[in-house]
This record gives sequence, C-alpha cells and structure tokens, in this order.
Amino acid sequence: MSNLETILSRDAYILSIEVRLFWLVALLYGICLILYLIHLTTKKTGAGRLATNMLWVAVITHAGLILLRTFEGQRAPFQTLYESLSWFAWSASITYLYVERKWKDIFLPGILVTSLAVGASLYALLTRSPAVEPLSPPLQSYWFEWHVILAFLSYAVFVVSCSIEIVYLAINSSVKKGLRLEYGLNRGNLETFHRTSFRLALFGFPLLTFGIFSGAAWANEAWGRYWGWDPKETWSLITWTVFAIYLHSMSIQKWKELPASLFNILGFICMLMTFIGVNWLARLLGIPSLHLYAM
Amino acid sequence: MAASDKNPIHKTIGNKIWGLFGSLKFTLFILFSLALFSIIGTFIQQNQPPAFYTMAYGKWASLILRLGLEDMYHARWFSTLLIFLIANIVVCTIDRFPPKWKTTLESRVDVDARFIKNLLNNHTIILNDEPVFARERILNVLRSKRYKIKEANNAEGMSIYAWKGMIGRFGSDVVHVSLLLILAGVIIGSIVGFKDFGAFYEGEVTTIPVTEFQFGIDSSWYGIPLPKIQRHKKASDIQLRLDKFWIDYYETGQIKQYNSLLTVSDNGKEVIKGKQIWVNAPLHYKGLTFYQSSYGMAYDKVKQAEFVLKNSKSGKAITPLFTADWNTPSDISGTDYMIKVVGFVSDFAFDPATKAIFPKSAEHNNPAINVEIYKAGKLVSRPWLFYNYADLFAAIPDSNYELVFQRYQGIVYTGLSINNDPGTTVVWAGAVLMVVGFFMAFFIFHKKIWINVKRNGNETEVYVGGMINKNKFIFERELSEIAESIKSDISGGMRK
Repeated sequence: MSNLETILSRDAYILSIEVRLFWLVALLYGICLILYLIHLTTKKTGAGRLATNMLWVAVITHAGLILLRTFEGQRAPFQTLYESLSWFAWSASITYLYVERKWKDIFLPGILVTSLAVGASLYALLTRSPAVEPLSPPLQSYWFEWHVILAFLSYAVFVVSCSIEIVYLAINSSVKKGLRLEYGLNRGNLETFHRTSFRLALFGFPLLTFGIFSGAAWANEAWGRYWGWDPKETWSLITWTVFAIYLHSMSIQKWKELPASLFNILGFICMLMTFIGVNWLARLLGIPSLHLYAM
Repeated sequence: MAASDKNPIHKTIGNKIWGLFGSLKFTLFILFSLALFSIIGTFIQQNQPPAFYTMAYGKWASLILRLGLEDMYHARWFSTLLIFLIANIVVCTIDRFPPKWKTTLESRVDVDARFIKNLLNNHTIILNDEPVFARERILNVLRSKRYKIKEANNAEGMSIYAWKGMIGRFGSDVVHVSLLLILAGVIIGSIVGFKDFGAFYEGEVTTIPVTEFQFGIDSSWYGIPLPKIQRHKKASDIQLRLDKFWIDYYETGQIKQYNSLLTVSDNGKEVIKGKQIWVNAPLHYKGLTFYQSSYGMAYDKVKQAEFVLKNSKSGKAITPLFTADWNTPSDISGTDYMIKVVGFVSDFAFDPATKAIFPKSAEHNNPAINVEIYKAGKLVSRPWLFYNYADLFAAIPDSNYELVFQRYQGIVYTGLSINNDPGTTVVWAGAVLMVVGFFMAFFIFHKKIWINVKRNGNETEVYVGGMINKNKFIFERELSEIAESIKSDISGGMRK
C-alpha cells in the first residue's frame, strides 16, 4: 500500500499547486474584465490596451496550467467538466486575442469574452472537483482527443463571433447616425464587425460539424450506434441547425442585418446549452445522459 | 406565377410547390421547426411508458401522446420535416446548380484594357519585347503557377484568360449533397437496421437472433398507402460463446476496462476464436457488431453455494462450511444426507397466496436459494433457504439439523449490444463527403486572371487584372508576383 500512498501524496501536492495557479488565472481574467469595463466607461484607449496585454499574460499563464495538468494526468487535459471549463476559458480567450490583433485599438468584444472566461474558471473552481481521474473505459478511444478539440475549437470561435456581433448590435444605430464614433471605431468598422462575426461562424460551423462527426464515430464504437438522441447529441444538432440558419440568412437580402445578428446570438445560446446546459437539463428532468463524465 | 391560358391549373400549382421548395426562406422555416421540436424533445423524457406521462404531466399527457412528443424523433411529422428538408435540398440544387455551373465555367476571354483596369486588382506593364515574346513569357509565368489558360486574338492584339481553383466554388454544393447522403444512410438504417441486447454467461453458447424484413403497404393513416415494414426475429447460424469476462483496474482502484473474450461459430464451425473485445473495440462478423455494453451477476443462477449444518436446538455448528455446486448432488459430510442446488433468486419476494418464491429484481439484495435434500438417495424435502433470514422454514424435516445458507458464488455475465446497421457505411460516406466539401469551400479559391497584350509603337503594353471569390489579400500578392515575373527578364527564358 505504501506505493499507493506515495502516489496519492505526490498527486495531492501537485494538485494543491495547480488549484492555486488556477485561482491566479481566474484573478488575471477578472483584472482583464475590470480593465475592459474601465475602457467601456472612460472610453480611454490605454485601459483597453492594458486589458489586452493582461489577457496575453493570463492566457500564457493558463497555457502553463493546462500543460501541468496534462503531465499530471498523463493524458489530454479535458476529461472532467472541471478540465473542460478551464480549456473553454483558455481557448475562447486565445481565439479572441488572435482576432483582436488585426484591429487597431478596438477592445469592446473583450468584455463578453473575459466575462465568460471568469465565469467558466469560477464555476470550475467553486463547484467542480479538481481531482485527476484516470480515463474511464468509454473515454479510452482515439476519437476522444479529436472530438473534444474540434468541439471546443468551435465553441471558442462561436464565443468570439457572438461577442463581436453583440458589440455590433450595441453600436449599430448610433454609429449609423454618425454619433459616438468612439472606442476606436469608425463607420467602416461597423461592416467589418458584422463580416468578421460571419466569417468566424463560417469557420466554426465546419469545426462543429467535424466535432459532431467524430463524436458519432466514437459513439458508434463505444455504444453501438452513431446517433442516439442523447440530450448532448440533440443539443449539438440544434446548435448546428441554428448556425445553418444563420449562415443561410446572411444570403437573404432582408434578413442579413438584424435577423442574422439574432440568429448568431441564438446559436451561441444553443452552444452554451450543448456545453453546460444539458447537465442542468439532465438534473432537472432526471434524464439519464451518456455524457455523464462531462458533468 | 398567375394562372393563364398557357398554364393549366395543375401546372400552376406544381410551379408554386416547386417554387416553395426552391425558396431559401422555406429552408430556414424547416430548419427552425426541426430545431424547435428537437428542443421540446429534450425537455420531455422520451420513450417512457404511457403511465409515466400521465403521472408527470397530468391532463397534458394525452396531448403529448397524441402528438407523438414522447417519441419525438421518430414521430411521423418529424420524419415529414426531414423529407421536406430532403426535397428542399434537391429542388434548390436543381434550380441553382446548372446556372452556377454555367457562369462559373464560361467566362469572357476577349477583353479590352478598360475591362481590366476596372478590376479591383490590376497592373499595367510596359515591355520592350514583341507581343509574341511577351505572350510566350506570360504563358510560362501562368503555367508555372498552375493556371489553366484560354487565348483570343483581337484587332489590337490579344487577350489571355487564366483560371484555377474553380471547384472551390462548388464546395457548398458538395456539402448539400453530402447531407442528402447522410439522411439516406439514416433512412436505410431505420428501415433495415436492428439492434439487440443479450446477457451471455461464461462458458455458455447462445444462438444469435437476426431480424428479417417483409415489405408491404399500410393504409391505416387516412387511407393513404404508405410503405410498411414488418420485422421478424429468427435464429441465425451464428453462435456466440463467452469464454471469459473480466474487469481491469487502475492502481487507485478505479475501473480501467471491461473485457470479454468471445468465440464465434458459424454453421457449427468456429470462425473467430478467443477474440478480446472491450469498450471502444467491438467485434465485427458478417455485418453484425458485438459491443461490450454492461456486465452483471446472474439473478437466477449461481455457480456454487456454501452452507453449514447446525444443531437446531443448541445452534452450534455440526459441520464446517461445505460447498455444493449448481445442479450437482454432494454429500453433507458426517451425515447420511445429500444436497443439490436447484434454484436461486437474487432478490426474492414471497407470494402468500401461492406460497411461491419469485424474483423481485435483478439486484442481489435479498438472495434465496432452492435446494433438494436426499436421504439414502430419496428426496425428503425441497426447501428455500434465505441469505438474510436464516431460520424461516425448517429445511430438513424430522431431524435436529438446521441448514444455513452462508455464501454463494454468482455467475458473471457480460452484456453485449448486437447491432446491424447497413446505413452506417452510407452515413460515413456522407460525412467524408461533407468534410471534403468544407475543405473545397474553405481552402480552394477560384482565381481568375485576364491579360490584354497590345502593341503601342515600339513598346508592348500588358494589362493584368484578376478576381477571386475570397481571400483577397493572398490574391493581391499573387497577382503582383505574376506582374513582376512578366516584367523581369529572367522569367520565361524563351527569348532569342
């Protein structure tokens, strides 16, 4: 038994460091959020720049945390909901930084992205067990990593797409009237926002599709069917359908403005349902979900 | 479209229906309905017995059952929506693909300088060469960049049209067609696929049932003839034997893997021997797939049971613990009695009317064992003994003995899902095609370049312009490179 005890005490030590590091990351995301909010209220470019630089620090620290977790578990770091939430916060933030890099002094979409990063981190830290679980039988599949990476990449892209769309909706009318060209915005940005949001969703859509396909292939090997209307499966299809509606509505002249924007936001809400909401749904209705390990 | 003399009424209606299915707004309506009903399906528990809905939803239950909301994804109108979606994709593709193909394929070759100068990306190059040499050099540059080329001569000089990546335009069409393929696979699976579940005991041979199909007509729905499929289960020639079931554990005690060792025989001949399956690694044979799905202990059988014999008055043990195998008589040492285990229930219930013992569940909550007691080869009693209630009935009549059921060793079974779905291959083909379609749409760009070459005094004027359907930035660079290559001397190498 002493062998087992050594393992357990070593694991507990690494885990305590890791949880503290995650708190630090959550704090960094929180600081970013506050700086973005200062940018929103004071309209000062400096605050926005600082926020983005801080977000880089947070993302790099968070990358270190995820690497630590990978070595600790000797496997891909997204098995439990605790790990997935951490991964979600990180991938959404880095995707946002990648997109924001192309703009000059525009920081508004950062508010929603960092809010979600803070929310996901706190949800994981406060309610989920940080224990490193070994891979349960159904997870031992070569589809596991692909499925999760593809799904979360699509989540990250949809988060950023929706953040930009919301900013677009918020400033749309005032900018069109020629008012309030602040926050580094000009008339041209407006269309860029709507387009960028569209192009991100256009990129996220195949990723979601591949995520669903890899999940179906995996389910076919583990459970003997590629589709079973499990709540998570159903919601992923609903998300897919709503984004299909969004992408098509962008080519209807009358719908490409406000309706399209609303579809994008609806798609984002469905995505949150797929990721987090189904757990709540399963508990609420007592519906057994096969995706239990993601709870 | 209004009805006129030329268009009889049935044609007008036909056109209207065609127009409806060809409209993008109708697509969005279908998709929206599918999403909405799928959402409802996740809020109402699916595939429960009717009583469940009466309890959970009260007076709404009848509405739920009538609308088929309790089996949402197999309800007739859910299938109807899917059929609408299929019709919608087919009509849209027929309407839109041919003109798109035509305009993409056909392009102006003979253009003048003004046309090129109106393009977003354009360059003007002045060369000292003859137009013939300029042409040679331009063609070489374009060929080295893998463009396809068409040429035309005109009064002032000549025009060149070059293009590549045309198939990128059809990525979205490929995605649409692949969706049809996936839906076709789903339909095939729902018609001829079947799924079964079986518990297999170690060492036991089981004949695998398969499902047969009969096609007919069903007119029960408003007298409309609809195809009907009848399924019959029948025994196949395939037999399965579980050689072993075991569980692997991690060092920390968590379950690592469930494993079954299977042997398959077909027509009495062993075809697969000792194949190990586990979760995520099923066994395939002749279209059937066997999946590791669950495991458990038999609720109606044991491998062996252990007893002690006590003095019914003093309560002291007379014999040490002794073992009796299932259905095998064995001596009770120190006595002239024999014992045989003939029955078992893992969670017993007692029916006072018939005084019968019957199983309440498959859990091992309240085990009871049925034994036969022989004295000098003659059956004297057939009592039930209870694991949790030691002295409910006297086991051996006319004696001072009391038989106590102490322990038992259950029989492990493996739960296997048996599945046959010929539609799966079609679904995968559709999935692969969709991946290809997305890659075509995202990574192959349709690039078009027009070049006009014209003699002007001693010089040759070359106008280069182009268009791309996306990714304008990369194209801008490529076009500049082409212009540079045409300008520079070293490029073609065909000069004399």
